[in-house]
Amino acid sequence: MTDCVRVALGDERYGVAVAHVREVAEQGELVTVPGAGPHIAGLCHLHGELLPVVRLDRLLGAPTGPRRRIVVVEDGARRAGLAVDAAEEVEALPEPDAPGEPLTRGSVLHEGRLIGVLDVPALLDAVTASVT
Amino acid sequence: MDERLLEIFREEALERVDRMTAVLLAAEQGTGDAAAVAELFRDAHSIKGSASMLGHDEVGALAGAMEEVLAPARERGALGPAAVPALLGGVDAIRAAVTGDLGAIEPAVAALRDLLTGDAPPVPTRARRPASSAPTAVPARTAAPTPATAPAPARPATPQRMLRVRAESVDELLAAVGETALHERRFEHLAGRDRTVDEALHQELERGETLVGDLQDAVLGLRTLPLETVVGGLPRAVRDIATETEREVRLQLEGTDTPLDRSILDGIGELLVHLLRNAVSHGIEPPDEREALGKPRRGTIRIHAEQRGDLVAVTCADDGRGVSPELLERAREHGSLADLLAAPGFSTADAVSDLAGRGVGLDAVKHHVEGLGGSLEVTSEPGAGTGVTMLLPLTLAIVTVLLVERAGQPFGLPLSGIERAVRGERMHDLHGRRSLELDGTTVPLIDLADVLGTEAPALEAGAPVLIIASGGRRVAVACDRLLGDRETVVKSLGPLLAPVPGYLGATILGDGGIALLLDPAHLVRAADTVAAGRERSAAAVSRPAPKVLVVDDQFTVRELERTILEAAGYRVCTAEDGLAALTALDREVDVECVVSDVEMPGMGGLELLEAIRGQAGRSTLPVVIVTSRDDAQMLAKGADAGADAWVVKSQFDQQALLDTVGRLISLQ
Repeated sequence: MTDCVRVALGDERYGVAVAHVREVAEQGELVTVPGAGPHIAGLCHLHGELLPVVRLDRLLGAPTGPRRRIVVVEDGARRAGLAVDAAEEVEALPEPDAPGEPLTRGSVLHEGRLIGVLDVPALLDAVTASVT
Repeated sequence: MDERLLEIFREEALERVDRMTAVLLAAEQGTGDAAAVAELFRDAHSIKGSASMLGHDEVGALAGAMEEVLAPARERGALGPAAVPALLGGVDAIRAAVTGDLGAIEPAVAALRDLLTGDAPPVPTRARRPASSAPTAVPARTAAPTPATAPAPARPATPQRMLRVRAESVDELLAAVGETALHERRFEHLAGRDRTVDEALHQELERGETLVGDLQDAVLGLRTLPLETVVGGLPRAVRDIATETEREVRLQLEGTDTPLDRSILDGIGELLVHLLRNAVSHGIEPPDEREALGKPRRGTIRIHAEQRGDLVAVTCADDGRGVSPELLERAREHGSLADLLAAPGFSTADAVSDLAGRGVGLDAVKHHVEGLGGSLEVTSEPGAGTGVTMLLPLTLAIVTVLLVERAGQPFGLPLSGIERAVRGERMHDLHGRRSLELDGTTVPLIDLADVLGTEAPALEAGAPVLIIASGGRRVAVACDRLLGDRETVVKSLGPLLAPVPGYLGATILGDGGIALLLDPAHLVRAADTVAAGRERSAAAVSRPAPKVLVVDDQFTVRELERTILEAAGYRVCTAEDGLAALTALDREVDVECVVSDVEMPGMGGLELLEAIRGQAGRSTLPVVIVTSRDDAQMLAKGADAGADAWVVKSQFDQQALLDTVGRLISLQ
């Protein structure tokens, strides 16, 4: 079992391992970064530091739309805000038993919902790769 | 001698001896690796350097003796326990000396000399004090116990009250102050909207703003200091080194008002002494030799500092003999002169001089600079001199920028890169490119929105134009309006956005907005690419983007390659092994390049390659093999089978892949 923050993208639900989550915050005003590729929604500042905000929906192929909150994730020195509709709760999710869609470690059925368990390092790799 | 310099030396030396004590105690227990021994050696060498620079000759001699004992240990990569007691004695004597008690130095030097001449007593304990047996206890620095044999302190320290603070704490403080300033401004904004608020409140708000401003300045002051605060001892150091090596040298200091981040500045004085030692003893020729060469008898060493975008370049350049042409040739093969000269144990002087030591100078400098996230550049011309440049990051330095606006978004440009701002009035068009008439000549004119590739309404007539100069070239950049200049704290975009070209970083504005800082060098280069880009987009209409087939059994690798290629504008299809790839090729007839892994279950990459080469009509289809193995046998096998190019996974970077695919497709 892994403790995960459950986040909502429209009707879809994804889990982010708490080990990678630094905080959940309101998405402040974004400044676009021309040339940063399609997966970067922009740059915001949080506690005096700059933070790139990632279009999680586009990366995952989930329904796209404006998002109000960000889940700040970390992997080593890399840090990004994942744009989501809401962070709903922290719950212990079982390990996925089979590898699943891109950028996830698979999916699990939990309390009647299908939840994609995000692979944060792979997500950030994909963002890095798409930054021209 | 400047009391501040002495205080800095004391702090540094104490930090080093604390570290040395821990390593020595570990060595006594038989633990500790080659890296620890090398660090021990560097610490002793550094103390030697800065002590003699400040006239602490006794400490310098002691540290030099320790260095001599440590040199063979560094070569071996291990330190035997036998040498530890004498070295610990030396460490303790240094600790006592910097707090004002020189009494322990002489016996410590004697113990080290005994060790060097081979008649060391089995357990020399005479110089050892209790403090060293408890390395975790921080010794009381102002009240070091005086050994019974010691005379009265020869150089009583007048302790200046200093506070050692973690750099991160200052960063946190700065961030908090920044947030406070924003809060203050938002508050003011809200109060300003309410007309019923009385005058007294407005006055308090204004006062609050001033206080927060002062606070911000004070915190910034904690982080940045001009370079001149650490170069005060250098003229003396140069004179001493020159006297000892019988050289005549003049030192020129330039740009010492360049501000540097405090955390970076701390070690710079010491690095400069290393560089000066090298310059005097390896660079500058003896006066007679110089005269015979037609050079002035007295050599010149220039220390020059300047800010270059988000870096500070500190250069130490001499007009001495330079390195040999053979060495330059070796450097070309080796990669860079800096890497070659900084290889451990490398020295350009044949004889080991007392001053320059064993080439450890550049080794230590490079190590330190890279530890700060910077880099070292060395240029040399045989017979004419050598220049060593430390490129240091400027994570928190203050840059004055001009803020400009295009399509409603603010951008900053370092004022140092702007020649001037003019109205865009006299413009000319030729070959579809626009230029601005300026002082009887023309400068290429580009729209900031075109450089950035963003959608924007057309510029108004007479819109402001900035003349940007970089690397000897000029470009005129048009924008909607100028918002004025201000001092800003440059923040890094972070590792995720660092690869995006064209930005030096960003800054948070007073109103809470963010302005990206543009790199003048990028704007100048963009003058060519913006025009080329227009041609490309015209060509793209007539021909669909090339399609690439990516073959790999690992999902992440496949997706990574797909994203990279798609972001560069290619169409991509994928397959998870060789057989699937062949099926895909039959289905997707317009594939123009295949990128394949070697080891895959079922049909691997080399078999796939053979199969493709065996098919009519596909014998020239470019195939790039991606492998985790960089061995010659594999490369030979692949070449036999007809691979067009290799990308090694361990060196995998997206640019290499894009360059390779781009080259092969355009060859077709």
